[in-house]
Parts: sequence; C-alpha cells; structure tokens
Amino acid sequence: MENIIETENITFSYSEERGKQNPALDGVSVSVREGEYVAILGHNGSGKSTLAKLLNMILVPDSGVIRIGSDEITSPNFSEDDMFRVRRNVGMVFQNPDNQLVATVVEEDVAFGPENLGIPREEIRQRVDAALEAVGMTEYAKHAPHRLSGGQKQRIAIAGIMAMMPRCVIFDEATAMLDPAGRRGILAIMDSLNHEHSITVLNITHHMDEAARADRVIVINDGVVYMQGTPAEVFARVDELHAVGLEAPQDTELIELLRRMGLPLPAGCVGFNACVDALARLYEGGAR
Amino acid sequence: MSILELREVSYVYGEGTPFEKIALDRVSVSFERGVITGLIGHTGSGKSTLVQLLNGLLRPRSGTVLLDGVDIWEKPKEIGKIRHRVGLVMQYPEYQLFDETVRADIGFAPRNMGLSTDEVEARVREAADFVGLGEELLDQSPFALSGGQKRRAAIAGIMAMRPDVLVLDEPAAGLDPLGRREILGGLRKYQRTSGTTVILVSHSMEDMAEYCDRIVALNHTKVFMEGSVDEVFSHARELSEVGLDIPHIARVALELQKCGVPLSGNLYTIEGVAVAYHRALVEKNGHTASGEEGNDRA
Repeated sequence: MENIIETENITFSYSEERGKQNPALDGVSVSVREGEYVAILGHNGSGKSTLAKLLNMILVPDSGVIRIGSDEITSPNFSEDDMFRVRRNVGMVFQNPDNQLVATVVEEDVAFGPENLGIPREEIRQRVDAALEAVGMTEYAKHAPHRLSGGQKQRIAIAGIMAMMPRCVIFDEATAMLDPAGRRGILAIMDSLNHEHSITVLNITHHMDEAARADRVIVINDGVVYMQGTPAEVFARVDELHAVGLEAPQDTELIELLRRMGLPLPAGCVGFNACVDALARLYEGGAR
Repeated sequence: MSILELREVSYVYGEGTPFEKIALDRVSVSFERGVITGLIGHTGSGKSTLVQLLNGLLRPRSGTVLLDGVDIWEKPKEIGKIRHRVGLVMQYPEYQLFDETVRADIGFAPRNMGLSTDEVEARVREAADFVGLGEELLDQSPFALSGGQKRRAAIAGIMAMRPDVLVLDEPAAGLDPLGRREILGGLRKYQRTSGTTVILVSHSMEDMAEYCDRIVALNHTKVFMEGSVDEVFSHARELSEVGLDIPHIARVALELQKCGVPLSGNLYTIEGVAVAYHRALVEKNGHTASGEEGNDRA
C-alpha cells in the first residue's frame, strides 16, 4: 500500500519568542500507509495534537514537508483549492463533540460537510443515511444534537466526517469525555471504519488499551518521535514508556510487575489473551 | 458515620415543559466521613445533578440534603456558607481561572470568606502544596501554566476553602497517565493528611479501584449499587449491563480464575492482582514462587 501521510522533518512553534527554545514539534518524520490503523501516544504537551492539526492544515509547519496522498501541502504553490481537497481526505474528530456540531437537527449536521463540498442533493441524502447507519444513529436523524449523550454526539460528529468520504480520519482524544459504554461504542466504530470501510485511522489517545487495538503505535515525546512499532513492540518497552510519563495497558503492566518480582514470565506480553495465557501456563507449571 | 446524606431526593429539569426530564428519582444515599467515595454512572445517569445538589447549586424538588444531619436548605439565604463547606471542583475547572496571579486565584475563595490576609496566604500555600504547585509558580499568571498545572491550580482554589467535603467532577479528564497519577495520588494524600471527605466522579474504573475507598453507582436516576470497592467490582456483569465496567485488570483476574488459578483478595488493581497471583503460585509450589529454583526442586 502507498503512503497516505508522509512528514519529513517538520517543525512547528506556537509563538515566535517561546518557539525558538520550545518548538511543539522539532523535526518529526512519520509515514502512514493507506488503510493503516495507527495510535499516537504522548503525554500532555508532547506535540501529538499539534501533529494532527498539521495533517489537515489547521496549522502550517514552520519547516519540513508534509504529503497527503500525492499532494505536497507544504509546497509554496499549494492553493486554497488544494487545501479543501486535503481536508476532504483527512477528517478530524475532536475531544469535545460540542465543538464540532453545528446544526440543530442531526441529519442536517451530518449533511453540513458534503453540502460545503458542493455535492448534489440526492447524493448528500445517500451519504447522510449511510453515515448515520455506519455509526448506528439512523433513528436519531431528526433529533436535536444537544439533547443527545456525549457518546451519541461523538457518533454524530464521526458521521459528519464520514459523509465527506475521507480516506483518513484522525481521532484527537475522541473518547476522553465518554463513559465506558460510550467509549466502547466509538472504538467499535473506529475498528469498523478501518476494517470494513478501509479508511485509514489515526487515534490520538491517553488510553493504552485503545492503542493496543492499532496496527502500529507512534509515541511522541517533547516534539520528536520517541518510538514506534507494533503495540507488542512498543508496550514491551515498559521502562522507556514510564520514563516519558506513559504506561503499558494494565495486563502488560501486571506481567512486568510480576517479572520484577522474579517470576519467569515472557517479556513483551501484549494483549488480554496473551497475558492471561502466559499467567495460566506458568501457574500450571508449563512455563518453559 | 455519614457526613452528607440525601434522603428521598428528586430533581426534575424543565418541569412543566415538553422537555421535562427526571434527573434523580427519590435517591437516598449517604457519604461516609473521612473517606474517598467514587461516584460512577453512565452519561445521563444523574451524576452531575447529584453533585450540584450536594453543595446547593441545585435545590431538590423534593427530599432533603443533610450536611452533618442538618438540612442545607433550612436557611436558604445562607446557602453560600454551605458552598464553603462543600467545595465543588467542576469539570475542566481550569477554564474558571481568571485572576492575575496563581496566588490571587487560589486565594479568591478564602478572601471572599472574609479571612485575614495572613490566613489567606497560609491557606494558599497549604493548598498549592497539596496539589504540588511550587512556590515559584505562585506569582505567575495562571494562563502561563501548562494544562496539568492549570488544573491543579483550580483544584487548589477549592481546597483553600478548607471544605469539610471536597467534590470533584472528573478531575483527571483529558490528562495523560502521569498527570492522572499526580492529580489523583495528590488527592488521596490530601484526603489522608487533612481528613477531608472526598467525593470523586470518574468514568475510569481503573482510577476508582486505585484511589477510592467506597463507590456509589448511579443508573437512570437511581442509586444502582453502593459499597466498598471490592463489593461493587465483584458485580462485573451487572455493571456492564448498565454501561459501566470493572477495571481491565479485574477482567484479567476473572479470566485467570476461570482457568483454575485461585486468586483472592484485592483483584481490582495491578498490585493487588500481582500479589494474589504470587501468593497462589507460592501456595501451589511450596515456599518459592515457581521461579527457576522452585521448579527444579519440584
């Protein structure tokens, strides 16, 4: 698969005077393949949300190159029309859905994106219906968004992005404000966007168990890529994660703690089943 | 011994309008003195309504809210005093910072309580210390702080009132794992040192297991479950039926038990499960926990 996102050595500072010593991003090079499911981790202020905002041109880098598909969005002759094309391809879902809902009726809100793209009316209708169905909110089409729960609002925000038919959706801590059921629902939608609709998913999160569902994990720390790899590769390096204020999922942390207590458990155990298996096997005496 | 108690409290939003919605329906619950109680419930279960009833931001439609056995609405004109005794930290409290310096911001409530300058200063220092904000930050603008520091400054502003009960609505929302530990660990230390009763609202079952003594679970306008952390999290199925959950690590423990590993004790935190697993191994394999030596001897 070709890369849908490529960044080469990008830097970004929020303000001139602070910026010189304290860039939010300080030379980040990452690439994401079309159809990939990537989690981005990093402590508050690490630069991960800044990276997301650069990828759909809410922010523009100070230096470096960003390519979205075949577009080099940092090129000097990149036009405003090109920008709209990029935003159509890379959608973003924010932490607080209230910041993202604009209309007073759910289906009008979902139609807002495609309307602005100048899509014909009949096609908008189809897209809105399909998007609402994909997030399981068809029956709420005529409801008022502000009367929905947080999880339901977040689904509407996602439907609004899906109706623009993007190739990539970036979730910027989109589950942070949700209750456990709401969070499970949004994660199921992320999985289905990726697996069934072949949409590239970037999930920026503080929840390590969410990252464990991704194909690849990128850890950003102090404006640079600190490590990346499969969840198993990244979470096996528990000490390095702790060093930057992060942690592994609870099951992996349990194995690591028991290893430190001297038990012969395998390093780099990631995932619920793998961890339970390792512990059950050691108990039964078949550890080796 | 309870410090705050709701007796048959109901609250209705938009009463008499087409949008009438019952938020709490004859809820009776009491909060124990000197412990941390976690308040959980799905979105719309009535948590935020309950929290606002506790310090008199909302007035029950029926029923009573008792603080130390006295109805907080006995003298409605003095409800402001209740708000000093039951401090409420709302969600994303950093948006409420406003003063020129961190010191002035934290001292805002104590100043309004009519305390002397020295007393205000003492309380500001104490509160800043509880949340881990260094002396050097006190004269900065609150807007120059990082997100996590702003959050802590806002919490300190409520602690500085020295409330009898400190209520916090999702104090760790949106923070990274270290930030969560700093805020919640700090709260626990504050609770243990000051003896203040703490009520903590959170969606994170992991945090509840780690930092709370008791849990009250709401579901659809009613109290669904209450008890110690152990008691509540032993009802995994019931919790997930109402959109809640048990900590991820507790699922690991349940699965291990199904595989025949006899675990007992606190199975809701990583440390608890590790200790229980270690003990189970020791009991099975003799005095060493199935390390290399243990197996060789066997």
